[in-house]
Amino acid sequence: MPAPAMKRFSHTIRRLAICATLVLLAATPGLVQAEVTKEYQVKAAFLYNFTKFVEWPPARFADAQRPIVIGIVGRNPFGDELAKITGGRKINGRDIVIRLVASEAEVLSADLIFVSVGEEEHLPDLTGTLQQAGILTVGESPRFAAAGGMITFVLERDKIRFQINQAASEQAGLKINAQLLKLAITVQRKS
Amino acid sequence: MPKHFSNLPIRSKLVLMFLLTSGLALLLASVSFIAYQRFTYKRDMARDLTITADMIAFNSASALSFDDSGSATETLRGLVAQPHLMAACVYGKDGQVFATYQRDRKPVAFSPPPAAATARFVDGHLDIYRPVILGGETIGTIYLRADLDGLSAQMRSFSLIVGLVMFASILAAYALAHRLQRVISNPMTQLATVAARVATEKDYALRAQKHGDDEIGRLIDGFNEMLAQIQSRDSALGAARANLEKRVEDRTAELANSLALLKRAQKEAAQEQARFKFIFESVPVGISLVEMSGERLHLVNPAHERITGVPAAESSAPGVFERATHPDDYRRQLELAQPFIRGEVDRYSIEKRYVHPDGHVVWALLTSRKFGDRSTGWQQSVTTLVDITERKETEERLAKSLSVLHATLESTTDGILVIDFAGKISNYNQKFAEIWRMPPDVLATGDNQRAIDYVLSQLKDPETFTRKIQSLLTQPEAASFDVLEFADGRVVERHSQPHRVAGETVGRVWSFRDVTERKRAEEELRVAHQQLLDASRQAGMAEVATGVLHNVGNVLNSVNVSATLAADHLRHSKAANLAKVCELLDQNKADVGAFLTSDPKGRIIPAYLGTLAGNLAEERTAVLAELNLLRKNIEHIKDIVAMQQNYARNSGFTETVSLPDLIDDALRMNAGSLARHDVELVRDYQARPVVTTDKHKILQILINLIRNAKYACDDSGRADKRITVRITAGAGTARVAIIDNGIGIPAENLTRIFSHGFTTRQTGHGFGLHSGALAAKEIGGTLTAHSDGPRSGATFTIELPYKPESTPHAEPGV
Repeated sequence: MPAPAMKRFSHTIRRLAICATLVLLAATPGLVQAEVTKEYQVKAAFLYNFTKFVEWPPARFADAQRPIVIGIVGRNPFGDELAKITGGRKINGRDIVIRLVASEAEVLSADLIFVSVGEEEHLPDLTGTLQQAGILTVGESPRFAAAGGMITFVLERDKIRFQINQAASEQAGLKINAQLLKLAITVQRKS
Repeated sequence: MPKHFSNLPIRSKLVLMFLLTSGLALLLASVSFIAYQRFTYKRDMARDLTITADMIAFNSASALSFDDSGSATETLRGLVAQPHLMAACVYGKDGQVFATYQRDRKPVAFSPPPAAATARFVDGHLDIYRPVILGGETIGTIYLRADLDGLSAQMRSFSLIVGLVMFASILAAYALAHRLQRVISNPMTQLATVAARVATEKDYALRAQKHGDDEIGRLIDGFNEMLAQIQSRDSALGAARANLEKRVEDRTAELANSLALLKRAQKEAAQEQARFKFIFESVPVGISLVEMSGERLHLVNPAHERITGVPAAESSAPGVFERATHPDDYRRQLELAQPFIRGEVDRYSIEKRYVHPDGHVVWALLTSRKFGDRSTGWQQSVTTLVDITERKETEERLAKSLSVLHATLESTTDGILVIDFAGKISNYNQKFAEIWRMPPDVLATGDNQRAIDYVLSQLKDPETFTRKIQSLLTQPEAASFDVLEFADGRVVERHSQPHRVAGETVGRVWSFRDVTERKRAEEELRVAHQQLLDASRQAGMAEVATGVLHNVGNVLNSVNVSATLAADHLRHSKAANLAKVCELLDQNKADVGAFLTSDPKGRIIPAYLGTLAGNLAEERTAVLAELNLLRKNIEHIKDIVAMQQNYARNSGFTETVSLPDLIDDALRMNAGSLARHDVELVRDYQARPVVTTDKHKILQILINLIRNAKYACDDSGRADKRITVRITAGAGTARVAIIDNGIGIPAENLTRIFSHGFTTRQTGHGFGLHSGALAAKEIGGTLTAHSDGPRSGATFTIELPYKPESTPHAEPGV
């Protein structure tokens, strides 16, 4: 019968066309919104996972029920991806709350902050108040790492990896699990 | 095995029991031990491997979290330290293979993990699945597979140890058992030996020796006590047995005697039974035995079956004899049987019919009687059936033949009287009474003498008849015949014949026939016949006369022709010319010479005269020939007339004639007619006999036959009509056969053609052949006819007495 055969053929054509488009999009990184989303999907998952391998100073969690707060500084590159991942999940009995933070007070209320590229200038003092407050800082630029950020995402052979500034985290009183350290590309320890 | 075991000596039994018991105990212990070892090994192995899996899970959690399979693979590689681990795998959260490890080169197919943690021994290895839990969340699964080589090795070494221990134990047990069994087996063996001796030697004085006071000791005591009792009873038994044997012998002899008597009685009873059975079954009389109480047939013999047509098996069925009995007889029998059944009479008989299933009827004389024992009330009825079908049929036939006889007697026109030797009239018919005008009362007495008296009174000549009767009484076997003349003018023929039964004369049958009328008719017939003969003869002569006239007529025709021709010749004669010449000569008689020589007319006269003379000579010859013919014809007529005169003479006069000549004459008389009808005549004279007879009669017959043959040929309408006349002669007989190929004679007419008045021709008188046959008879010969049927011609043959040595036949002449 020509009709179903035609239909199947046209379906195949359409699928091939979509594949070609995807290949094109993949070949031009940084320019297409879809690639950015994939990268931040992974980064969102990592952010969530980091909370499992990090132990905050006991003083930060006086109340056993207090949720862990993830603060996104300035621009939010995750959309609602991060909320999706953390929604309904608990880490050691605590809920996770996502907040967009701008002011210093807002930043200080978070337990983990993420600083996307270009937002570093809003937080010049990564080693001062934040360290003292015992907040885990996560960024994604060399500039962030140089400024004393604790965990920095690095793109290595198309894979998202991270480096850890153990000196900075210890300074803040945070204990980073050896398992996490094992996965890091580089670990900067106290000199 | 158990039977074999039970036959073993006690010694061996005891040893075997020891060994079996100890061996089984050891075996049970060893099997339990090994099973337990195997169980604990497996349990420990699963536990150890689970711990290992959990450890790996813990170490791979971060790698799974951060999608770092390299790190997970690195973690798995550490498993090399455990040689029994065959393969390991880390599955992601979605069940996909994340990192793997394999001990051997052979690739392992990692199937998707189960939902829950499991530990299973499958196909000689242990599979362990453990979840990877991080922060209370399952983020993947660890799979480990370990081989069971360790277990196998351990089992092997354990089996070896158990085998060795068992072997050593059984050896030791055997040695011990061999020694210990004697405590029990020795006293038993001794007891058995004593018992065997008692059995074989029948020596009840032997005793077994006792060793202790245990069960065996008590057994030996009991055995010895038993032997003592047997010993005392044995002697008492010996005495009793001698007595018993004598009694048994006596009793046996007594029994044998009475048995022989019983057998003889049985045999006689059986013979009696067989005799009865044979008679019962072979007797031609049907017999049935019925219980009076129940009217139930309980014994029926074959003759009964044959007569009634009811098989013995069915004879007890209800309604069978109602059906088998002829409906006309059933009610009659019922009436007769009622008093018998009620016991008012002891027997009854009836002649009745049985209708068989095939429809044929059997007559039987049925007789029922009672017999039995009045005192006990047991009563049976015996019914006998005698087949009387034949008798009944004979009676019926007899009645029929009597009726036929009677009808026959009455239908004959003869008066018949049957007298037996006692002088009694045993039968007569009505015609007899009529002829003798005998009153019925005379006949009714049956007294022959009265009848004779009555008869004699009517006869013209009673004395002769009386003598005749007297002579017949003395000759019972003689048959006689005479004619009685009555006083009133009647004539009666009387026949008397002896009456025989089975070759023996028992009486005499007289028959009387009133022939008065016949006698008168015979006389009339004789007169009529004579008249007819005369007429016939005249008719025959008329026939001859007709033939003669016809023949004469034929010849007269020729005579007429001859006369006319002669007249014509003379009328045209050249003689007239002669007269003219004479006249001419007369005119010139003055000078005849000159006239004849000089006159032109005169000169031709001589030549003319010559010619004329020749013509006249011719004429004369012709006329003479005609006249000669005329004379011959007239001679012929004369002959015919002479012949007529010859045959017209009165008959009864015999003379010697040649048969062929006679036939020729007859043929000649018919010649014209035969020629006219174109019939070929063949003369086949094989002999020329000369007979002495009445030639007119023969001529009359022959003319008649030839004429008939001619008609027969004519009527057939065929072209080759032929009549053959054949003469043959034998010893004493001359035959003339007139054979034609005409219409023939149908077989049914062959006997009738000689009857008076029979003819097949419209113009026939019907007495030609009749008178011919009579004429042949008168001259001592015969006339016979033969024909193969219609269209086959006919042959009539006259046979005449002939003596060949008589006057030889002369050549036909004057």
